[in-house]
Amino acid sequence: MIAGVDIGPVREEELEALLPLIAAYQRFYEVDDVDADRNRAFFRRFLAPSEDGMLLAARDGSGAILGYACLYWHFSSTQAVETVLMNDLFVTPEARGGGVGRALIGASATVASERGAAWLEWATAPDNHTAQRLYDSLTSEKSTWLEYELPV
Amino acid sequence: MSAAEAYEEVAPDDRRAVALHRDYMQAVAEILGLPGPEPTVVSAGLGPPRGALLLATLDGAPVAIGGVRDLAGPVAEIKSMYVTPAARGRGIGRRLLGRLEVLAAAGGCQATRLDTLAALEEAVALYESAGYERVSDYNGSPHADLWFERRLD
Repeated sequence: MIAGVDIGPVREEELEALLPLIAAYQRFYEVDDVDADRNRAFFRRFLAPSEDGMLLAARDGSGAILGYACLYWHFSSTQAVETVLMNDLFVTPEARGGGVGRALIGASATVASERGAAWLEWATAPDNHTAQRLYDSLTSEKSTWLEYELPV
Repeated sequence: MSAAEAYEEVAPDDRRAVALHRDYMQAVAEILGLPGPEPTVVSAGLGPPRGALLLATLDGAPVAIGGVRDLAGPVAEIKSMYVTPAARGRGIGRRLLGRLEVLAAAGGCQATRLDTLAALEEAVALYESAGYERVSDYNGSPHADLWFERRLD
């Protein structure tokens, strides 16, 4: 990479540096009990190689993490295919407006394609119009499903 | 059922891309009142490693092209954006541009820029809706009267 970002799987030794970004992502979605220990244990499962998914980091020239995406290996029963869910996408406020989010989506699509997944999918908050503008510039395929959650 | 829209990266000498580029040159020549262009190859610099050319298809038929170059620098340049008249109004140009911007972002560019003509009203509207802002002439092109740039998101 010449000018800016380098994107690749999060390395074991980078997980500590990633935790503050994960916490910031959670706070954006109004999680009020962010727990670094729980995050460390939970997100470790996505370190490559993983049966569950992949953490991708975008780094600047010094190796500092500017943003990340967390991919979940996923499935479609209707099409009977594997897919990839981009469950998290986050760019630090300081790094926004430099193409990092767009580059992370592109890298996520490449990972999905290389896995043989049928598509990359993701969701966002209905009021996150900034993100929607980026997403609408990439695809016209928008889900009309309603999502439910049942506490158990 | 809507038509299946797909985007693929092609070589600058891809015959479908060259044919669309010729249509594009003819359309611009008509607007400018110039004689038709020579049979042409696509603009320089749209091949790897520092450029890329995307072809959009609808149900397999080529309907749009767009290129990006200067991927090694801080500001990439969008080139040769063209959507066939019959395929306009579906958002293909917007998504083609968005995907060119992905290639620029993946190359480490922080912004993209382009030149165009005010007479290409649909193109100008697209760039403005996509977040491009007018900047001063950056290349001295005699075939342009508007220059746009945006920071990538």
